Amino acid sequence: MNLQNSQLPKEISEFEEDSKWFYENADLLRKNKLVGKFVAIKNKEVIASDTELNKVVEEVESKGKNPSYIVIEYVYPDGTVILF
Amino acid sequence: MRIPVRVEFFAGGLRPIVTLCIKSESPKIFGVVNAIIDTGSPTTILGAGDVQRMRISQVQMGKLIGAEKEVNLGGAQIKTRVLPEAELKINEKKIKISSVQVPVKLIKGTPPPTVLGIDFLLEGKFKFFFYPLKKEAYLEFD
Repeated sequence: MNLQNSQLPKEISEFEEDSKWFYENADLLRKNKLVGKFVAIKNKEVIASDTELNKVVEEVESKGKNPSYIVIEYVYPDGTVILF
Repeated sequence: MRIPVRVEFFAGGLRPIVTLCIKSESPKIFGVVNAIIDTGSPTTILGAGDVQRMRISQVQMGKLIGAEKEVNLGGAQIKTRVLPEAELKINEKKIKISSVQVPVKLIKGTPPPTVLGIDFLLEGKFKFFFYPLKKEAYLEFD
């Protein structure tokens, strides 16, 4: 599943677009009962979700995609504040 | 020159976030990650979720150096070891960075995201501009 270097900029820009979509649509994901789950996003769509990250990674792979280039984020409950 | 940084609402507040490519030869690591720029963190820590996403084998994880160190980050408790040298690529700018903390075990909590610390700003010779009111942020270098 290695990508050619020439393909990388496309993968990176798609990753960026999907991550923007994730942050902008966090409320929608919460409404769709995805709170407390990891979600994989590709082309602005949820392609896998589960409470366990490993299962999401496996599902992404089973769809023939390389998880290294797929946005996988955790949907925090509304009002959660994380301090670093 | 300037590298644009996104300002996104994430986990209770506005955060400066960049998408970057991370590459290391030993251990072999390669992938795309989102990272929060955190001037409160002295070091760069790879997200525990990103490590799982990049499917780094146990053999490769064994090539990390140093003893396991306990780190508390974003409500999670993790154990990390050190990636001796990594290359980060943001836009077309490459930054060599040493001593990236890599989670090897999640003890408690949700896997925290990748955090770019002060070491990243130093290695890249970056100035960091962050204006949350206008959702404007960028990295600047000569």
